[in-house]
Formats: sequence, structure tokens, C-alpha cells
Amino acid sequence: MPRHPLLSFLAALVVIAGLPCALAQKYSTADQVMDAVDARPVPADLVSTMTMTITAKSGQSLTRSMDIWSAGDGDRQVIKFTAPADIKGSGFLSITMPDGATQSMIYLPALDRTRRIAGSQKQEAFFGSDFSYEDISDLQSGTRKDYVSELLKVEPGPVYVVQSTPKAGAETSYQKLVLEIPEATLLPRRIEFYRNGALLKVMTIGETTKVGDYVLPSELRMETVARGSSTTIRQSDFAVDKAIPDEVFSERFLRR
Amino acid sequence: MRRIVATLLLLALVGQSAAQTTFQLGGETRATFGVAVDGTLPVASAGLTLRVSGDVGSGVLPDASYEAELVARYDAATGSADVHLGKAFATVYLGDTDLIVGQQIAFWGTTDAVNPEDVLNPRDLSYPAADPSEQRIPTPMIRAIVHDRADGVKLDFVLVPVFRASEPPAARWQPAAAAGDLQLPAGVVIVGQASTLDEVPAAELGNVQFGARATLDLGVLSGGEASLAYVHGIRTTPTVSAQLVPTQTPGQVLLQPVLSYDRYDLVGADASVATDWAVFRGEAAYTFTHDPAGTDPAIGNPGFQAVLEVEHTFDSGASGTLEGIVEHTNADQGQDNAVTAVSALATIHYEASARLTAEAAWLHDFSDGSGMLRPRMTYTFADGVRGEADLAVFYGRDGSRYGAWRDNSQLRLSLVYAF
Repeated sequence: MPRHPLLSFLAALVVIAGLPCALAQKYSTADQVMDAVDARPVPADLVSTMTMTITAKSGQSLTRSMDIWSAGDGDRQVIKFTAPADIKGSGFLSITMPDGATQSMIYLPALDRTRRIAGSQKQEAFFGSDFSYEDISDLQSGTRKDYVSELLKVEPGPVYVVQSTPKAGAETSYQKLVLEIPEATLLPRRIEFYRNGALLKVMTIGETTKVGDYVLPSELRMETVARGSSTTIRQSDFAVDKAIPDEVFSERFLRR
Repeated sequence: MRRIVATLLLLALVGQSAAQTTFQLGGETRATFGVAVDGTLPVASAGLTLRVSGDVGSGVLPDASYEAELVARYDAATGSADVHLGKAFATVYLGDTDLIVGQQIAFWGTTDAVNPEDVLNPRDLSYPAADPSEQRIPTPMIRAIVHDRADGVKLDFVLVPVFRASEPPAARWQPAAAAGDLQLPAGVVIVGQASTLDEVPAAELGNVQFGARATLDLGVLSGGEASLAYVHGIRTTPTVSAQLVPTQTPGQVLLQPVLSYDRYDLVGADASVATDWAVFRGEAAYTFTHDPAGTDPAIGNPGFQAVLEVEHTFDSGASGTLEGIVEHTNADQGQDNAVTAVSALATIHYEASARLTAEAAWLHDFSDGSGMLRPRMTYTFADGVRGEADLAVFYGRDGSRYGAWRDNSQLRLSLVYAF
């Protein structure tokens, strides 16, 4: 059935009228984009529960549950496992010091001891997942302060594709990151992690949750490209700006 | 009427307390089967641990917490069966102080596997090659940990009111009994062995053990701390000596092994520093016994143990440690029998996937050329369900430290379900 000429005209008008909006972009440099990402409102502190599903290439999966406390734009973070039973009580503490150095330790209840983590150990898998300790430490950070960014291209949306390379002396094991940042949310929707010249992992943010003035990622998926495995983190039960006591970010609380 | 009011008040208090108390049940079942190179079955056991734990109080920082375990185990290979209390303690959080009372494990030290300062708990040495962290036996203690976050200082005080000895190694791990250096009078012959005299220290004030440890947060590089420790205690493994017991027949005696437990004072220090490249750990302790001159064979001689360790993670994701271990025991008076042993321990740990973990450890004693290899694999079948394969291979000449256990080289397979 032929379409009515008026309908075709209106449809064309909508498309033409929409084009400038789709192509218009607020930012022309990577620094502007990252500044805008930095300026996005983030909570002073955050409490949430996480469910981590680790899926092998074969499709078999394991699940871990944990509670997370985070403050200072992710500069202080505590994670405590609540399930499964064999790792319940294990915990991870990460504190970024004023000089930029990060101190991290894990608590293993079976050994009744905490262990400090060296810089080289931060690339180890976080309790068997596709996330590393380094990834987890940076999870709640608003942006990556240790990187120099370059705008590679702008995709329809607009979505900014930014390449970030670490500054000299930065505490990271990655050679570069490539981020896709929609202008509408200013929350990276996809991050590629490169090491030794190869694409190592890809993280995608599937869903977000609006809590007060904040848009928070509620589903993140990290895929290890060569291994074909992936880990999906689902965050829920968000509580923001609750003035978490300083005592929470301590070895004492980790063991408690 | 007064009784009714009192009962109502009690119920009200219990109700209030119950409303603020969390309660969790959990535990673990474990089945282990082992086979040694000499064809014997050293273990065929099944065990169950039931655990109850929880917090008292509300909010993210509760007022107190508690944990109690009931452990049951049956080993068909040895015919042994027992049910006992594992950990059973309560922790009260009083401002900056944690007060922990009950049957517990208190670990002091910083290095892996070999810890000169880790002397507070007795050990289950029935399988001496077991992971040291699995050998600690919970023991009654009163412990206070004071946290001074502002100054980065932590003080740890421990009181062990009642002595408990370590579980001795199973028969197949014990050295052959010998008369040692006993001087027999002329015309006297040993005609047999009397039952062992175990001089376990009684539960009395003079046998109360105690210790203190101070830890300072160094705030350097990617984190570090240093500690000093002191323990006034009793060795949980006995010093073995022998005495002659007369029989009714003149000139004939029985040889009686004597197990005595040395009083000691231990002074220790440890430190760890994390850098971008590695974590460095060190731990050392000197033990003063009540026989500094080495004159009494029933009391062990003073000595020290020191460990230096470096841990690094490689680009492949595997992590490894390398430890150097020095142990020295002073000589008996007038003798040239001081013992110094220098060992190295290398470990590698690799998580091939979320399910499969491979580990290996190699311990070599340079003093006598003996050692131990420990490859181990863990596979997680499902959440909380894992299988373990653990091989222990001993090598060395007869009479050497680990060579004496050559025939005990063995493979152990376990299935564990944590719930």
C-alpha cells in the first residue's frame, strides 16, 4: 500500500530536523569531555551490594555476593564477601593516599591474616573474576586521573570515543584505554583495556540506576578477550551520602 | 508477684537483645582420601564442621560479634573419631579496643608458611606436611587489640590461661626411638620401654602464658608496617628426653621417654613493605629457654629463626614467593652440637580460570640436601563445592630432615562443600 505523500514529507522533516541535534556536540576536545565527566555529580560516599557472576567460555558460571563501601570518589573502598560460604568474610581494602599512591590489602579469614598487595599484584584476578584488583579499585572513581586523553572520533549520539594513555609514573598496568562516552549521560558505556599492544579486556555498562541526583552504573560486564570469559557485576541497594564513618576504611573493619 | 515481674523483665531484655542480634548458620563437609608411595592409606576421613556466628548491635559497626564451631571427624584409615569444639569466642568492640574472649586462633607474624613469631596456638602435627595455616588449634585466650588510628599504632595483648600441647605427629612421621646419650652404669641393661611420661604443665597461675605485640604503620611506598613482639610462654611441642626406670630385678632397667615442655621468652620482630614491583616481608625471633647454658637435656636450648620473603606477580598473572629461612639452636654446654639450618622456600600460584587454581611449593634444606615438593590443584565444581589434589614428595638421604619421610610421600584428594 503506497504511503501518503504528506506522511512521507512529515517523516522526512522529522529526520532532517533531527540531524543537527544528532550531529551537534558540546565538546570538541578530549579534555573538555573528561572535564565534563569529572563534573558529573557523584556521591560523597556510597554503600551498595554487588552480585558478581563469573562465566567461563563454556557457559558455566560461578556467583559471588559482596557488600561495598566507597567514599571520596572511590579513593577509599572496602569490599566484603557475603557468599559463597567458602570465601565469605574475605575482604578488600583500597585507599588512595594524598600523594596518589594506592595502598591495598586483602583479608583472608581462613588464614586469619591481612596481606598487602604490591603494584604488580593489582593486575591479578579479583577473586577469580575478569576484573583485576586494579579494575575494582577504579570501579567507583568518577574518572581516571592518571591518564592523558585524546579524542579519536565522535559517533552519532553524540558519543565521544576517547583514547587515554597513562601519565609517567601512573599506578596502572594498562598501556591505554579507549572509552565510549555518550554526551547524554557522560558515563562511559564501553571501555577497552589494552596491554602489550593488544586488546585485553572490554568493559560495558549495561544498566544505570538513578539515585537522587546521581546516575550510577548498576550492571557492568568485563570480558577477557583472549579467554572468552566474562564477569557481570550487578549493583543494587544503593545508599548515597550517608557519611560512612572513617573507621569503615580500616584493616580493623576488614577483619570485623 | 516479684518472680513474675522479674520473669517479665528478663523476657523483655531477651527480646530486646534478640532483636539486635544477627544469627547465621554455616559449615563445611570434607572427605579426604590419601595414598602413600609405600602402598599404605594414610588417610580416609570424613569431617563435618558446623558454625554459628553473628553480630550483636545494629548498624555497620556492631557492638559485638560471636562465632562457635563444632567439629566432627572420622578417619577410617586410623580408626580415630572425635567430636570437639573448634573456635568458640566472642568479640566486644569497646571504642578503639577489640576484646576477644574464648577459644580462638591468634596469628602473629607476616611471612608465609614459616612464622617464627606464630607461637600462641598449639598445632595439629598429625600430618606434619599440612599447610601450617590449617594446623593451628584454637585455644582459650583473652585478647585485647587496641587500635590507635591517628598514630598508626596497634597494640595486641594476649593471655593464655591454660596450656594445651600440640597434637604429635602420627606414628609414621615420628623418628625411631633411641636411647640417645644415656650413660648406663656398669652392669645395667635396658630390658624394655616404660610408658611415656608426659609432663604437661598443670592449669595453675605459674603456667599462664602471655604476650604483647606492637605494630606501627610505616606509611611508606604502597604500604608497610613493622612490629615488635614478646611472648612468655611454654613450647607446645615437647623436648624429648629419656630416663631409666628400675625394675624389680637388680641391674635391669626400663627406658622411659619423657616429654617436657620448655618455658621460654620469645622476642620477635617483623616487617612488610609493598612496592610497585613486589611485597617484601621479614620476620625473626629469638627464643630464650630456662637452660641458657645447655646443661639440662630435658630443656631445649635457646635459638633463633629468621625468614626473608619477596612476593611478585608476573605479567602472566602468576604470583610467586621466594623465602630464605635460617634456624639456629645453641649447643649443649661443652659440646659442638649447635644446629644451624639454611633453607629456601619457593612457591608459585596461578589461577588458570575462576575454577582452576594451580600451586606449587619447593622447600629445600641446604644443610642436609633434603627437601619437599608440593604441587597442588584446586577445582571449583560449583559455588562452595571444590576438589583438591595435593601431592607431597620428600627427598634426601636417610636420617636427613625430609629424607626420613621419603616413604611418606603421598597424594591426597579431597572434596569440600562449604555451606
